[in-house]
Amino acid sequence: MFVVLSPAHPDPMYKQVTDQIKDAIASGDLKPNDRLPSVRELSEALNVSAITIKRAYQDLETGGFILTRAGLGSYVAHVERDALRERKLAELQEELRRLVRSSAKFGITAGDIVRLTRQVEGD
Amino acid sequence: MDPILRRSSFYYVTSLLMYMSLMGRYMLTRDWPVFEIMPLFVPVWILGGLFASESDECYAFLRTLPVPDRRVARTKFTLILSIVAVQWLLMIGAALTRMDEGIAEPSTLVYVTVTCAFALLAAAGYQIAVWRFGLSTMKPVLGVSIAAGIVMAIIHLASLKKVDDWPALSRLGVVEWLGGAPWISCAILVAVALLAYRALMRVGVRVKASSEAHL
Amino acid sequence: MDTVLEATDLTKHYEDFSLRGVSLAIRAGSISGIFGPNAAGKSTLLKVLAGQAPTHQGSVQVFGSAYADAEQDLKNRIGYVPQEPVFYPDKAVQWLARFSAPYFARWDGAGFYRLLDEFKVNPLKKVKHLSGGQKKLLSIAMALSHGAELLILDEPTAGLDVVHRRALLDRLRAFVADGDKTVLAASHITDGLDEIAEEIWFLDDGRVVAHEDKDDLLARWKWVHFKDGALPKAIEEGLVRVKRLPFGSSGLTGDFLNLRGALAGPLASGDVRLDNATLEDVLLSFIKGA
Repeated sequence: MFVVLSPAHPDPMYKQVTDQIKDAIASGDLKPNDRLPSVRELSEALNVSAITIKRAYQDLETGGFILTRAGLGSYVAHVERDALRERKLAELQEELRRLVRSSAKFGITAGDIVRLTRQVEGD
Repeated sequence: MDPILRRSSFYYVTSLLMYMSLMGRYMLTRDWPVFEIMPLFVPVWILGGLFASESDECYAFLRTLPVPDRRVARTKFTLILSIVAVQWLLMIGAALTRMDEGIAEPSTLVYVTVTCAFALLAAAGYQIAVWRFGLSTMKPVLGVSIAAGIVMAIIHLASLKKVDDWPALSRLGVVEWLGGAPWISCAILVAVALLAYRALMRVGVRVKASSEAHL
Repeated sequence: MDTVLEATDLTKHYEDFSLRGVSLAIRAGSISGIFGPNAAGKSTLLKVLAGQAPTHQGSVQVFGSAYADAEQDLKNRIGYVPQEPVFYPDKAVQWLARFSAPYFARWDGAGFYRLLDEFKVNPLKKVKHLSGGQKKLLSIAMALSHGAELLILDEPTAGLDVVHRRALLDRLRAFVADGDKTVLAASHITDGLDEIAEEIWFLDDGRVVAHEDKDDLLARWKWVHFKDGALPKAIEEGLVRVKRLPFGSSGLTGDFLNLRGALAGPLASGDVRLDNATLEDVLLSFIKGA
C-alpha cells in the first residue's frame, strides 16, 4: 500500500487517504481480506490526526470497500472489480471532458486524442 | 534650532541655571573662600548635565535619521563647550566685580580658567567613554565621579576653615605666578584647552561612528 | 537592470557570532527576501547594509556610494525598519514626527499621518505606551514617509496582526510596482514575506548559503513520494530530508528539472508521486543539522 499525503493538494486529507486506498485495492496491492493498518498506526505513520483516518475508514466502509470488525480491525472487502471499474470510468469521463474542451481551443479534435491514446497505449 | 541640539541642551542649560542661581549668588555675596570652592563645582555640574542628557538620549533612533554620526558627535561637543564657556564668562564676570573688595584677585581669574578647562576636558573624556562603552557601563562611573567631586569640595572647604595652613588651590605658587599677568595667562590657558578639546572632539567623532555599545 | 545595493565580502566579528564574507547584490525594482534561522546574522547584515553599524572588513555601496562618503544622502533615500524599533520613550508620536522632519529632505507629513491613521497608531500616544507591534508600524510609517527609494526591513511583519500584515505585504508590492523602488527584507519564512519576495537569499551561520530567483527555486525543488524500490538508485541517493514511513517514503530533490525524464515511467505507473516544496522545505535542507 502506497499512501503519502500532500498538504497542498486540493482534496482534503481524508479524501486523499480514501482515494489512495481505493487505488491500492484496484491495482491489487491490497487484496480481499488483507488487514488494513489500525487507525492509530496509520495516523502516526502519516502524521495526521486519528479523526482524519477514522473518517477515511468510515467513508471506505460506507462505499463497501472495507469492513470493520469491532476489536479486530479493518479488512479489505470482496469488491466487485466491475464496481470499481464503473467508478473509475466515471472519474475518467470528468477528466476527459476537461481535456477535450481545453484541447479544442488549440484545434485538437476528439479524433486526435483517440490517435494519441493508441500511441500511448503502445508505449 | 537643530532638534538634537535643542533636546540635548535642555539638561545642560538647566544645570547651568541651577549652578549660577545657587552658587552664582554666593560668588556675588559671600566672602572667602567662595572663589576657592565654587569653581570646584563646575566639573560636578557639567558631569551632572552630561549624565542627565545621555540618560535621556536615544542614539539608536538618531542613527536611523539622515544625520551623520559626525554631526551628532560635533553637536554634543559644541554644546558642552558652549555651556562651559558661558559658565566661565559668568564666573570671570563675578570675580571682576568682587576684585575691589579683595574677595577675588588676579590669580582667581587664572584659577577659574583652570577649573573650567579641567571641567571641559573631563566632560569630553566622559562623553567619549559613554559612546565607547555604553551608558549603562558608564553610569556608575559618572555617579561615583560626581559624588567624589562633591565630597572633595566639601572636605576642601571644611579643611580650609578648620585646618591651619591647609593649602588653598587658588593660591598655589604656579597659580599666583600666572596671576601676575592674568589676561595673558588666561588667553594661553584657553587656547591650550581649546586645542586639546578639538583633538578630543576628533577622537569622539571616530569613536561614535565605530561604536555600537551606546546604541 | 541597475544594482541599487552591493555588498562585498562583509565580515564582522562579535563575541559569539560572525558575519563571514557575505556578498550580495540587489537589483532595482525587486523585492528581495533574506531568510535563515535565528542567529544566522540577518539583523546584523541588515544593520550593516543600512549604515547602522560599521563592518570590520568588506564594503557596502548603495546607489553607487559608500556610507562614509554620502551618509546623509543615502539615509534620505533609504527607509530602515529595525527588528526592535527604538524611540524616545517619553515622547508622543507626533513629537517624533516634528523632531525628525527637519532632517529629511523630502518629509511627507500628510502621508505620515495618513499611514498612522491606517495603522491605527494614535499620534498623541507616548512611545512607551505603544505595543511592540505599534512601534513596528510607527517605524514602518516613518520609513515610508520620506521619499525613500530603498526599504530595508528587519522582520517587518513580526508582531503585526493578520490584517495589518496582509495590508503591509500589499503595500510593499505596490511600492515596487513602478520599477524604480526596491525592497530588501529579512524575515522568518512563515511571516508572509516569502509570498511577495522575488529573489531569495538564504543565510545560515553568518554566510550566504543560497541565492536564487524564487520561481526558479520552487521549480527545481520538489517532494518525491515513492514506494520502496520504485526509484532508480541514483535518484534515491540524491534525495535529501528523506522520511521512510511504513506506507511510502518521501524525499526532497533540488534537481527536479533534470530528473523529470527518469521519473516519467514511475510517475505514470503511480509508484511515484510529486508535490510542490515550500520555501521553508528548501531552507531546511540548506541549514546544517536541520
